[in-house]
Amino acid sequence: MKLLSKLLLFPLLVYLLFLVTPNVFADAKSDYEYQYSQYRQNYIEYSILKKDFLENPTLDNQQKAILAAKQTMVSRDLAKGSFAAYLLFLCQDKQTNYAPIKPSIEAINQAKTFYLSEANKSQSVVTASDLVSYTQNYLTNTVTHDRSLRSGNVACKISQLVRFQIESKNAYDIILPKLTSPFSAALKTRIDDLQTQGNKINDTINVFTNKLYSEEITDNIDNESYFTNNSETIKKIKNMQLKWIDGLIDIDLNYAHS
Amino acid sequence: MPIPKIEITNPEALELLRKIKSREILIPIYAWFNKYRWYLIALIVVIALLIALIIGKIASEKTPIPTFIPPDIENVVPTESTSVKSDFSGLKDEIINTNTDLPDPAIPVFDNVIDLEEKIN
Repeated sequence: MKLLSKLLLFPLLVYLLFLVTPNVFADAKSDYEYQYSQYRQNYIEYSILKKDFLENPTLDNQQKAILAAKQTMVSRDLAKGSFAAYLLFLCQDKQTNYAPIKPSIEAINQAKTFYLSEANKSQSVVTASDLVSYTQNYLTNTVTHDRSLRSGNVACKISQLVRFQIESKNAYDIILPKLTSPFSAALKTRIDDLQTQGNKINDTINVFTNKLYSEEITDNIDNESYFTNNSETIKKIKNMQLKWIDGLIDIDLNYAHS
Repeated sequence: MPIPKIEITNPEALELLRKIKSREILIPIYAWFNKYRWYLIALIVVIALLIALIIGKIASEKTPIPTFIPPDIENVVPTESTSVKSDFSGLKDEIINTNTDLPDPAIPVFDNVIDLEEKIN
C-alpha cells in the first residue's frame, strides 16, 4: 500500500515541479517578451489611474495610482532586466571570447543587476513623496545602464561578425592541407590575397569596436544616428566577409576538389 | 442449199438503194456535220478530257501514296553537369542572411518617469 502511494505521489510531485517553475525552462527571448507585455499592461492601467487621480485628486485615487505606479515600475525594471539578459544571451551565444567587446558585455551584466535591484527597490514606495524621490534617483542612475543596452546591441552584432571571422578561419585551415603543393603562382596569389583580406577585416572590426568606446561615439549614443552609422560600418564589414568567403569557395572548388 | 435470189421491186426501196449507191443519202449528213462541226469537236475534246481524268483517277487510286517518314534523329542526351558545391556555402549563406540593421533586437520603449505629476508637453 505504501509503495503504491509512493508510486502515485512521484508523478504528482514532478507535475507540480513543472507547474511551479515554468520560467526556468523559458528561453531569454520569451521571458523578455512576457515581461515586456506585463509592463505594457501595467503601464496602461497606471496611465488610467493617474488620469483619474489628476481629474479627481482624492486620497483613494492617489493610493490606487501609487499602487499602479509601483506595479508599473516593477514590471518596467523586470522587462529591462530580461531584455539585458536576452542581449547577454545573444552576445554570449556566439562564443567568440572577443576581448574588445568584454566591457560592453560587462556593462550589460551590470545593467541587468541594476534593473533587477531597482525592481526590488521600487516596492518600498508607499507615499507620493516616496514615488517622487524614487523616480528622481532612478532617472539619474538609469541613464548609464540604458545606454549600455544601446552599446550592447552593437556589441552583439560585432560578436556575430567575429563569429564569422572564426568560422572563416576554420574553413581556411581545413582547405589549406587539401591543396596540392607546391602551389601554382595563381593559387599562391589567391591565398596571399585571402590572408591580406582576412587581416584587413580583423583590423576593421578591431578599429570599429575600439571606436565604440571613444568619446565621439559615446556622446552620440542617445541619437538615432548612433545606430545608423554603426549599421553602415557593420554592413561594410559584412560585404568584406562575403567577398572573402567567395574567394575561399573559389579556391575550394577549383583547387581543393580537383 | 443455194441462196435464192431476191429481186427488189418496191420502188421506195429501189430509190433508197440508188441514193446509197450514188452517196446522195450522205449529203444531209455532211451538211449537218458542216453546220455543227465545232460543237462536235468541242464535245469530243470535253469527252477526251473527262476520259483522261477518269483514267488518271483510276491510275492514282491503284498507286499507293508515298508517305514521308523523316529520318530517325538520335535522342539528345543532355550532358550531365555535376554541380560541385563547396562545403563552405553554408557559411556564405549565413553571412548573407545576417541582418545588419540596428538595433537588433529593437530596444523597447520604457517610461522612466513614473510619477503622479501632470506631464507638460
